[in-house]
Amino acid sequence: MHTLTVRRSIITSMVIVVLTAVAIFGIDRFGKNSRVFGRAGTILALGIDKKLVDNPADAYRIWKQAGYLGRTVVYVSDRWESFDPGELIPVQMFRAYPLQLYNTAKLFEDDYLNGVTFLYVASLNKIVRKIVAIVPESEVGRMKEAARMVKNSHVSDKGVYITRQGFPRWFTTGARFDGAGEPALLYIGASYFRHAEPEDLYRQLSSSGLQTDCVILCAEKGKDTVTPIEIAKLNRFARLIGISTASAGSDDMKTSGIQMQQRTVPAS
Amino acid sequence: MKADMTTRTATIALAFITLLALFLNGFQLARQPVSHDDYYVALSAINYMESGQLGPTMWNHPDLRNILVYYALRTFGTGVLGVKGVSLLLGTLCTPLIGLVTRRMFKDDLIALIAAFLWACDALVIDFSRQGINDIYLAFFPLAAIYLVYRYRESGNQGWLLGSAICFGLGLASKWSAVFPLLVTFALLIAAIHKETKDAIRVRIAGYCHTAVMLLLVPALVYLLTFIPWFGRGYSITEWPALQRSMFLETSQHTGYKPKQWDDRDNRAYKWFVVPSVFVDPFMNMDAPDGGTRELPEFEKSATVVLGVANPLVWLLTLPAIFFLLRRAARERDEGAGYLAGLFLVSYLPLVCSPRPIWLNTALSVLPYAIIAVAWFVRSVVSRFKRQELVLAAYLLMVLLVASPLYLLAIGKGVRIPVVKDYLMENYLNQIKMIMPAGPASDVPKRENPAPAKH
Repeated sequence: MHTLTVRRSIITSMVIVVLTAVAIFGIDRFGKNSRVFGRAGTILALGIDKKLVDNPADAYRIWKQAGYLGRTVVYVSDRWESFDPGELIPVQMFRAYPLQLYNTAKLFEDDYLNGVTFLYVASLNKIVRKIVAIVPESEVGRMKEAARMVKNSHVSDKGVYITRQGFPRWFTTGARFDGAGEPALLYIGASYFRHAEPEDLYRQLSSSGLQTDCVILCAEKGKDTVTPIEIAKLNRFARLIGISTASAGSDDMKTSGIQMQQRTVPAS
Repeated sequence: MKADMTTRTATIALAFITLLALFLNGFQLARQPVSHDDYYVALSAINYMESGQLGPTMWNHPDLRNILVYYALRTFGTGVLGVKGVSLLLGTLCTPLIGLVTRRMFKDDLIALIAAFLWACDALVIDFSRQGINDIYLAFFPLAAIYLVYRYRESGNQGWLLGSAICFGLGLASKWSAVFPLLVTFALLIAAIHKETKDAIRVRIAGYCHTAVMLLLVPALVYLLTFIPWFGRGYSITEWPALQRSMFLETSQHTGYKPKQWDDRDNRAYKWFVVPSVFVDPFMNMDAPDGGTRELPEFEKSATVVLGVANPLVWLLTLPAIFFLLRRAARERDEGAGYLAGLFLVSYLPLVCSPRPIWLNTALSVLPYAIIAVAWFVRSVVSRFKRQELVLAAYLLMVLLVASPLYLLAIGKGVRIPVVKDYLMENYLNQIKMIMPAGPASDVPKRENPAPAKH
């Protein structure tokens, strides 16, 4: 074998090490720069976007219209709805060349967006990259049971971590929630108030130090666990975070006419 | 036997064997019904490149396939070349590569040609050179890397070593089992540096560092770069290890994406070279192979069974060949024999020891080394006979005779063979028939989910 000189070996090695470091740094920046945020603040802040919507799918449309990308969603509801994405799309039994292919993200957005799938559709469309679900204690317990069946899961005092095909999801309670580590998209479903009071959630979110640029309060119309009582509590929560009672539920607080100044901010 | 074959003659012969491989891999490929895997490979490529999304199929494996298939689809459209063109190309190129690598290991053109021939007509190789999924990549990239390492050792040109490192990285980005030949090759180079720099400590340490940077850092970097579409979803470098952990946990505990409807026995690696083994891939496609209307075809016309059956005249010689190879490496300090035995054992034994099912498709990560070893073994045995040419020709003819019906099975034409048809019906198709739709085409049932986990 031809042995390289010491000088050539060292120079080559150094060049590759430096290039590797640059590539790692560059990839990290690329990933972080792919995130799109709005103006962020606490849930009380005036400058952030706050909306009241009827259906979870409206939340997806707001996020999409605002151009958010690569975000953490803090999802607050009474339960985590599981579904099997593979069962929604009829299997292509005719498969002749040229194949009739499609973009799954677009297909789900066009044909399968609903109150159960909206977070999945948001993840397919690059809006969401991880989910922190704040759910009642009983639901966290259910997820703990589910975690036993999942290959990559972790249960701790703070909650349950379960991935789906590498996609990260945490399940915790309002009392244990300690922030998302970066400005998050906050979604609160009325059903959560079946088990909790708005003041408690407000206090928990405030004390967690949560930063957000978009708060969606969803009446979750049609959901069997939502009654006028939960809607009233949702409106109480709306007033707590600065949405006036009069405007809560009015058209201008709903999904239309979203105008946001977008900016890309370096994430933590 | 005439051992002093000229390089030109050997090269021409290798080119002919490569053409044979291209013919076998490509014959009526567009008429082979599209399997579920082929279809979902194409969808997964679009998902990954346009949304950074893993899946719907084989989300736990690295993503080079998604990148290559996506660009093939962009270049050639959604026809057979777009979906299977990459596998066809890489599977075919394995044939000359295995010849070139063998030539350098044993410095014997005849062994190289035997190895190339055995590879070209192996049913499992043909099966996976005709599929969209990426198991054939696991043969191609490490072989290419090994070849480039030999070129580096011959010339001292670092470009070859860099090329080898990139190929190993691409192998890793196909499936993680490429790490095994990488480690053996790394050990070979370290041993060579150690041997050749007896008193020059500075040169030795510099050589170690250089080799480590080239063969460990560069492949890792190439692997990382193939995740760029995933990073485009907003993930940072600190979130990447969590994804790798998820992939690793799924891969290390994988028991199949869906329950198989047929008897699934051949999923233990220790059997591969001990008893005749088979990779089974039955599927339904409502398109009649020769086109036609969109009415439900007969069951026999819509069901296809692709079988990658190991040729017993080749595969069952592997373990004796490795034994004699190890003996030669020890007795004669033969580097090529030692390297080849190391490649085989280090690639194969982890699969044998794995507690999870390992299906025969994974054998493609080991098969190049097995076939080279068998080629050497056959050459060694034949050289003991007086009429060597005749004995070798007889062996190769028998291999070809056995390979012929296996070829029909590998391209999904098994039901055309009367005796085999009954066997296929009994063992595979009757189970599938249970889920065969009975109504019009629009009533076709939902297939088993390719991504069964709940969201």
